[in-house]
Amino acid sequence: MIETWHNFWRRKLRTTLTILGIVVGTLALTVMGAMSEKINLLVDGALKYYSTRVVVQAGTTIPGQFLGAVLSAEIADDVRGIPDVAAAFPTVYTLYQEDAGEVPAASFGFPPLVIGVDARRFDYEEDRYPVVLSSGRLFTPGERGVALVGVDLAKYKGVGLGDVLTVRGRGLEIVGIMERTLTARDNVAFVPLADGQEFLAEMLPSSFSADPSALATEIEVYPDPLERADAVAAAINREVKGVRALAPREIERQFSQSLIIFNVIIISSAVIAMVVGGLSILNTMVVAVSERTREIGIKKAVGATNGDIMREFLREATIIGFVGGVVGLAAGTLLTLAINRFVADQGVVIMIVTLRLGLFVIAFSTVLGAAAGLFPALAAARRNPVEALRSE
Amino acid sequence: MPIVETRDLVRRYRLGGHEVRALDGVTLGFERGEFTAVMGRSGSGKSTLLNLIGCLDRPTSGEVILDGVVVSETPERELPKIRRDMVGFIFQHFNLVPALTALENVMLPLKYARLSRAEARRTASALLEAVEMGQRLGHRPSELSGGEQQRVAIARALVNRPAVVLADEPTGEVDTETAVAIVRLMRDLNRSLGQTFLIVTHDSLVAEQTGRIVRLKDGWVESDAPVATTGGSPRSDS
Repeated sequence: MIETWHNFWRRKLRTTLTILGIVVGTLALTVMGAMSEKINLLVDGALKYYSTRVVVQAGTTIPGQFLGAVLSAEIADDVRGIPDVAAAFPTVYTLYQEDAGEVPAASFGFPPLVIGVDARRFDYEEDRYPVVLSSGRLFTPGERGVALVGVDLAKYKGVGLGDVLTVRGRGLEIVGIMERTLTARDNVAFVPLADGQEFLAEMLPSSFSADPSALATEIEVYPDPLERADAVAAAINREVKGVRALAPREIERQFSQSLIIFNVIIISSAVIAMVVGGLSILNTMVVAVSERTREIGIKKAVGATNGDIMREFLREATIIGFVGGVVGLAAGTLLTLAINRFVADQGVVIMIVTLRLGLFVIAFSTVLGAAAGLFPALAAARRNPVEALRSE
Repeated sequence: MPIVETRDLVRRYRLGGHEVRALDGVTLGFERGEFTAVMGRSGSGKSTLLNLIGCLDRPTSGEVILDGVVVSETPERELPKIRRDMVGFIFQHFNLVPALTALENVMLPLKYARLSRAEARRTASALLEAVEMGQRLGHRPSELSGGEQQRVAIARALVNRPAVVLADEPTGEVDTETAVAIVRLMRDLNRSLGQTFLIVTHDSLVAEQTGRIVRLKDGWVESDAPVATTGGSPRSDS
């Protein structure tokens, strides 16, 4: 071990540059991975959400469109008549705006939302995807001018329980703060449906003069039993005109597919960066073996086995990989914190360095180091001692 | 019974399309504790003989017998153990590992013998004391003179108490005064520890201090005779 350290020290610059190569790769892997981890959590949350209900959107909504087109709240009544539907509530999704004239900023991640919901739906959420509060209470049917605020949104606006959340110039009393879920829910405010409908009505063009209570962006349908969800979605699509019901299984399929593609793109780009770093280890070790050829001969002459020689070089490569991994992970974590802080004024967290990501990054760089050192170490171990001793 | 024996030892190799007969039927025997010089011109086969006896190289034909074991027939994977336990090498260029201190260099064969670090340290320090390098344990080769480096190398060659110590031009890179001191040191160790020494040298001054001179020529033994003047009874240090 002392010898390994001294060998590093003898070639300080080279060792440092090689480690730096791994650090850059690991940093990329950490940052990309942190982004992917956050997306995974968001998608997990969304899947949990969508797998417990059937969502009905206007037929004009483009599949995958983030905020659905406006549809009539009365469609909820039509849906309630379909077999196996326990309840159906209109819901209004709008982008969060503090003032009416504010243009929502372009966002890296999931933008803050204001969601108008029927208070009765909380009963149906219990065994599905319950709204869990860290403080305060849920609002009740008929209650107006109140809000349940996600933890990131509360932090971003600097508000807490009992404070006022300003939405489109109107003050809403915060009656509950939701517990952190690491999903999109951290960045939303739930408001009573009637309030949400009024916000939506204000945002619509003036030609769209409708009764606010008739507005919805989607209808949330709670099938009972839940296993009938796909059948319920099919029945809605068959019987209610002008809407599209999204079956949980279909949504899950779409989500997982795009998630896989996303992860593959993100992670593979980082892995390429790491492999380049691995090649620099390979290069360094090949040079080290050729520089220390005579030393290999000496060691063999005094009794080193091929395994002893191989282990020495393999150990050096592995240590380079490990150190690069640890430093890269630390740098990457700092960078994600900095990026998160930078985008915090938009009320979003776009990256999470999870424990499993950290372990993966270090394991990957260490194994990569070992793999890169394998060929030079084998070459070193197989050196003929007489020829090795003759080399200059 | 000789501790080191070669029987009709042949080593041929190809060099640029030509076959070179580096050794061409060498039969020699060295008794336990013998202190022998191997002389001859460049290309006479001296180093090849040492490499074959030291199990660094394999003969084309013939046998090498160390302490009764026919090592020339030993499987390749067992050779490191033989080199480690039965042979000590001293080289012309000292060949210390630059990254290691004097002490660590001497500890190296013990490390490969899987000795505990504490025990290896004890043994190696004692031997470095014996070669008058006790004050320089923590110095790296670059901080030592040629003579000092060779003393460390001698300690390393002896640390495993090998049956035979093979020295290839051990005084080739030091001045005459140091050369004399180094040969005297080897002679003293030979007498006190009883190891067999085979010293390849060009230097007749070195050879005269040994008990026997084997001369090689073109891969065969030209002559093999005891040293007349000091042979077997080296001059005293007084």
